[in-house]
Amino acid sequence: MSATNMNKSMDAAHLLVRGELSSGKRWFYRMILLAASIVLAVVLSLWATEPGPLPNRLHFSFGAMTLIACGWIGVLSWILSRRLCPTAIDRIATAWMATLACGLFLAVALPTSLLRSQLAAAAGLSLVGLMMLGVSLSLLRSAYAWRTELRDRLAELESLADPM
Amino acid sequence: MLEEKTEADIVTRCQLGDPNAWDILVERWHPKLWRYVARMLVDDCKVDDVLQDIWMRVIRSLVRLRDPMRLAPWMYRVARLAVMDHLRVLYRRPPDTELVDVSSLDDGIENLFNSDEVEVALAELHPIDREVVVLFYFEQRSVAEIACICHVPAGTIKSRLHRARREIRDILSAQETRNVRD
Repeated sequence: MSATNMNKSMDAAHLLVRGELSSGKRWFYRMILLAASIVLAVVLSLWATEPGPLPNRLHFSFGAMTLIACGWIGVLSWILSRRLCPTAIDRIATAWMATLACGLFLAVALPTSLLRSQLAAAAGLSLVGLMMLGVSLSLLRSAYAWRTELRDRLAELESLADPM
Repeated sequence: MLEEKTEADIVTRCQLGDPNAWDILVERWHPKLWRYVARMLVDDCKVDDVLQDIWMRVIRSLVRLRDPMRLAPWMYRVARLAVMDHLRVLYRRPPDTELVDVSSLDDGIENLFNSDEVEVALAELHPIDREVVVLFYFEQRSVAEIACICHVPAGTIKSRLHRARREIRDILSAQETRNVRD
């Protein structure tokens, strides 16, 4: 293996790392996460606020759409938290997006239920939305706490390296 | 100690999302990983593929490295996993499915002349023994560090080193006998 090969290999590694750290792909996934949470809110609120009894096939369709939306949210959450979360900034951005998604879920589901005068459905969906919001807020809090911990560690390392 | 501190500093900056720190990490670690992978794989063509795999793993999981002082064993462990995955796929394949065209490699012949006898003997070792020799003799890692990288007790590393040394000695003496006969 020659030095030229080594340099080529190094350039390829730099390109790979820069490409993976660029945030375009992650923002794309975050937007899909937002869209999936809006779809879930719409489907759930329509399903829960239907005034009359529904035929089985409609229950099945609503159930299937709910499962698909939940599946998308689950997969995207996993991708964004485990596969595409290389830095503290990404973790904070993803936590903010999850909080926004939960907020949107509440903002869509609650008015839809109230407009259709279904108080029980509104209460149930609000409870689900608030629980999701609570989880996302705790994720946001831990993301900020982790960044603070990293900054403190960096300050400590810098003070150790340069005592003056 | 200073190097460790600096590495810890770089890891923390990488975790915070500083792109310059990532550049420094690649500058510092790519040559070490390249040497390690090149020694572990007999087929030089696959070195870059494995290195890309290693960097993908590093990007995905550096965020979970809690102790930045432990970067070196962690990096070698990531590299080891990527190399082992590659070797697992390679050995699962029937031997005739992949023939390397030696004439297509621009530095193949040059390598053959430049490599010393120990490196040739290294290629004949079992990958498990080869990795211990590479980490101990070429990458200058301690037995404790190698044990941490390979997830086995230090005693196992010592016995692997002992076995590898014996095998290298056997291979070299067999080569010498062949050379004398020729």
